[in-house]
Amino acid sequence: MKNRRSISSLLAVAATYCFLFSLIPWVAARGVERTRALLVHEGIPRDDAGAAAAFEAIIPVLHHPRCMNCHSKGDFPRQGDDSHRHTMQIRRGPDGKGVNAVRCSTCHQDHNLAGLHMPPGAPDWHLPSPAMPMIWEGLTDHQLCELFKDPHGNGHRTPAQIVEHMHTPLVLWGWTPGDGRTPVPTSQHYFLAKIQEWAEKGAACPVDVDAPTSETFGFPVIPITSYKPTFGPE
Amino acid sequence: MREITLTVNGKHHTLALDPETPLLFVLNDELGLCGPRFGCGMAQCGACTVIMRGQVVRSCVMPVSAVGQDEVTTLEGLGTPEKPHPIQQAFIEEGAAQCGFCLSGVILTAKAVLDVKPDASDQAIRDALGGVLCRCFTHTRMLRAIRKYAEARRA
Amino acid sequence: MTQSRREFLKSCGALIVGFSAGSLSLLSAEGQGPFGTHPSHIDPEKLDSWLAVGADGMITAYTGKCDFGQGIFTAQSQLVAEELCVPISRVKLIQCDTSVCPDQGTTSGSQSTPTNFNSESLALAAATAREALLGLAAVKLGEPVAQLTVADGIITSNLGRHVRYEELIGNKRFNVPLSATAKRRAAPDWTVLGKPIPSLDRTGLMTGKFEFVHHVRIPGMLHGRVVRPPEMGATLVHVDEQSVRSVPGLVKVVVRKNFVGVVAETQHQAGLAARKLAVQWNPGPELPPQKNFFDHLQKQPAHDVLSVDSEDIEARLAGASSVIRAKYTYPYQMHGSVGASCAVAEVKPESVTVWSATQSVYPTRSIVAKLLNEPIDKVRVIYVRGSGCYGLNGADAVSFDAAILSQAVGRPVRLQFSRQDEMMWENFGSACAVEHRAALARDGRIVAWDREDWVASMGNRPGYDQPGNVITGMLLGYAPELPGPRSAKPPTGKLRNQSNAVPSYFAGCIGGSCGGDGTVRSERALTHTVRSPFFTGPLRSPLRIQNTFANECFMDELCVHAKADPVGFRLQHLQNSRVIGVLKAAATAASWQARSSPRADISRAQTVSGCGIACVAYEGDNGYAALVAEVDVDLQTGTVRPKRFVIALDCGPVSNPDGLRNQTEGGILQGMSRALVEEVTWDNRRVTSVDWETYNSLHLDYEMPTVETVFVTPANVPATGAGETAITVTPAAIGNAIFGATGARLRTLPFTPERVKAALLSAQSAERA
Repeated sequence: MKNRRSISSLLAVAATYCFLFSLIPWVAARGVERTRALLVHEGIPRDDAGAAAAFEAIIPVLHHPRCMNCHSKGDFPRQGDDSHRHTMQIRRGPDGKGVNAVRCSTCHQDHNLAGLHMPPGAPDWHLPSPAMPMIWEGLTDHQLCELFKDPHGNGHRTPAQIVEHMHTPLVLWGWTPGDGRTPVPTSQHYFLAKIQEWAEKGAACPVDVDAPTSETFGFPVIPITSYKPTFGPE
Repeated sequence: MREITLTVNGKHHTLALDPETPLLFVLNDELGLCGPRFGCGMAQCGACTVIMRGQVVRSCVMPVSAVGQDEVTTLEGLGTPEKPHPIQQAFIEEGAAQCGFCLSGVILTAKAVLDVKPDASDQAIRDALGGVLCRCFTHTRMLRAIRKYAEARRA
Repeated sequence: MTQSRREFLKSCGALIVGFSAGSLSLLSAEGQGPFGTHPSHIDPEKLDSWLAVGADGMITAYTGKCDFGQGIFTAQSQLVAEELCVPISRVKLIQCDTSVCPDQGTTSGSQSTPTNFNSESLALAAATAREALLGLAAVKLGEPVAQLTVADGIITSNLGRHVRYEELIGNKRFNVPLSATAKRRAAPDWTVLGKPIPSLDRTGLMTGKFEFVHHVRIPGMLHGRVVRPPEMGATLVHVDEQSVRSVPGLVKVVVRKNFVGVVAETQHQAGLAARKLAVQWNPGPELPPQKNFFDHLQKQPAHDVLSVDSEDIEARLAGASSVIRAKYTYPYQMHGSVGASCAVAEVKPESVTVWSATQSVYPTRSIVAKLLNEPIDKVRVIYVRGSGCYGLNGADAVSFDAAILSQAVGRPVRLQFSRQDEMMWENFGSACAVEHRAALARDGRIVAWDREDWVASMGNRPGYDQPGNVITGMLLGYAPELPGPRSAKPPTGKLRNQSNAVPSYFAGCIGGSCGGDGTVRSERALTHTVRSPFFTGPLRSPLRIQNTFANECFMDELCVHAKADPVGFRLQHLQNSRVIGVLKAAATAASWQARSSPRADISRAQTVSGCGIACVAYEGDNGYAALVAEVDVDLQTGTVRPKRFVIALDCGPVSNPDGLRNQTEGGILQGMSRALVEEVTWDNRRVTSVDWETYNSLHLDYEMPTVETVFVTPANVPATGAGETAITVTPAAIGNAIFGATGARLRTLPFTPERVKAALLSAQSAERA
């Protein structure tokens, strides 16, 4: 009797898992507009392992210079594939848009300009403000995810709003960054799908290598290590 | 080509232009202004600097279509030889130029910073000038002129 | 020809030169350009070629030396005002227009002051004019010249009668030659010259009204851009004109041999077309790796010149108890004008006019005529200021390019270089290597000193007939000047030290006559000029700054071996009173503390401070300077921060002390940028320093050191140049100051933090050894 119940519950869980995973290609195939429309509460059950895995999948994007150059430590942005400190004493400033009369928009337009070393551009080019600097450099995967979710640190956004934010032109710029800059190698489609999935499945965070494994649905979550770039001195 | 209206140094202009034309070329070629100059065309040297909305703008990379309603102020818009602006007067008194090609970057950047923050420190002013190049290295006189202007306006 | 051009001119005294262009080597060994004044359709022997008096009393003066920011427009106006006793507001100076100004070759080489401010050319013309006017007044007033005085353009007799210049000659020609006996006004009597008159361009510059060549606009003007090859030596395979068919406003694609350019209605369209044009090129040869470039340089076939050779150097070094050796290297550096070059050309059937920022209007005129296959009489070049050039920047090449395009479309064309066009195809300042060997006596005196240098060279100023010396000419099929291998001949005649290869401490003896500034008699200076993979040309203090860096830093090394103070040791080996004068003046003004070695224990410090000194006789006799540098060095990061410079400068009588101070400060700070951060880079295919992100320069945020200037002015010496003297000693003074602070010796530029840290490590391990 006991055996049959535990087997059936196992099967139920497995079926759920399979169902959830089968959603991924369906969701991805729907395109960006449709994924934006899906909300966590629309009947998709919480899935911590799935969410964590989805977040892990986008870590390489977040660590790529196209993102990291504006989410690094310090009161200044970085530039280039080698992530050197932005030249010409450019700083974050009190609102993330520069200091005094020298603003991001002093040079950056709302679109890229053709040619090597010309200023890149996207609408509303700016850094996070110092009040919520969204510094990702030096964070573990878990910490990064927690920062993403923390309304006090992420611009008062819910996971759904985070997903929306990822569709803004400034973020998507990472895939068309202009001459001489390597675009984010992970496909934009995949990235958006994964962030969507993470939000829908309850936005759980991956554990770090050293952390004790947590148990979800009776299965241990296998922690995934990820690439942490190091930055040289300023 | 599109019809674009611009306000530069207080005057209105209506021009038929490719909207992607850099503002600098419009100022030089259509309006015949000499203040902003082509140094690099890449926003790396500041020779093309103008002021818009109280902010420093490198006109060599701004498409003229992005100017919109904002008024553009060039170096010649600050003052004239007969009646120079106080910051220009300070530069004249200090002889703060050699070839003079970079002056739009130096004078307009310094003025814009001091307009936003009249008590800006020397360090803050210098940081703002991080995107401006003077290859004749008249730096010492230029900073002395800026300081002179800043102190006079605070008084 | 054994004499230099300048020596010939000096020996002629006040005579205006009357050579034909072909009879002399027009380019000095260092390629600074033709100096002095030359005959042309404007006869420089006639007073009317230099000066005219208008009916309104305005004095119009014509000069072949132009102002690109160094202040000589004002100084020459002061000169004319002084000699003609008129207020400066009554002088109208016309500079460098080939239709009306005399041919004075190139404005460069710190030669404008010696040429126009002593007793030739413009100075002599102004003095001749004053005396001629006095002569006319004497006739008119019926009184002897000795009874006449002149002030404010009015000549007054002792009896109180007077006559104005314009009444004597207004709008008429003098019709007299320059007078070899005309006397300059004495310096103690000067009321305009020698005074710190504010530069006449200030107001226009600060109010944005000043027109640069970039602002020249001609009716019907079109806009051009060049399309350069991807690398040196690349040759054109095919231009696909269809690729730009859709660019609105495109007028023409111009192709001539390897020259490619586009012309369009607007600047923006020209830029679009230049970027879009599909061009196929054959690649150029692979470049020698930058990493071991100097080793490569030293292995090339060379054109050898001995400046001095006592012929006993090997024996003396062999007999010495120890020989001190050091090798110094200096990278290619850029002029790096802040404004990319620009020119406007109008080629019409009856005339050719080029508005150009060239330093050499007459040579440019000659080259334009040659490239367009037009008679030279048809061509007029008008100087209009560009961005500060510091030597040969893109101003000549862009003028040739504009002329080619204008001829191709039959309309005026304004050509603007892009930042990459300007930087990638510069005639860089030469990369050099210098190897020193010296021996000291037991008492520390230098008994023998040998130095060999290698100079990378290709091209130069184009002069009157060498278009291949710059990129445009090469693309059109002309070859650049290249050093032809030649073994060294023993030196003859007088010591020639125009490139400062010979250190100030050499006696400089040739055939019994010693023309150097020092006491060392066992001496050899050998220069190998070798082929450069990149264009080279004069960059402010060309070869002089490289050689002085190596000489003055090695002198510092010898001080250490002799356990002597850097100032005292130099004085011990100098004979020239003017070098001694500036050395003592700088040391005094800087409160130099005598020391025999760098500070001892620095291991516990984070930042250390120190001083260094360097001195030079620029070109041997064209200005004297000694510079003390005080620097801080951060031992953790290797960052060098100059805090204070004190310079003593002797350039003879000063035309404008304010202008001189501006030039001196600018020279030192520019030298500091070159010493700390500037270096051309390349990979195996092409130059990679192509904009301000890839070529380093100090910007306006850099915290500037204080600069104190002391002008030393001996009586009764001619005026020398001053635009290049201060920069010459700057890298050496900083290098010596780094040593003074840390005991670490840097033998190459720029003094990057990595190199400083490496030198610190090397000094520490040497200490432990």
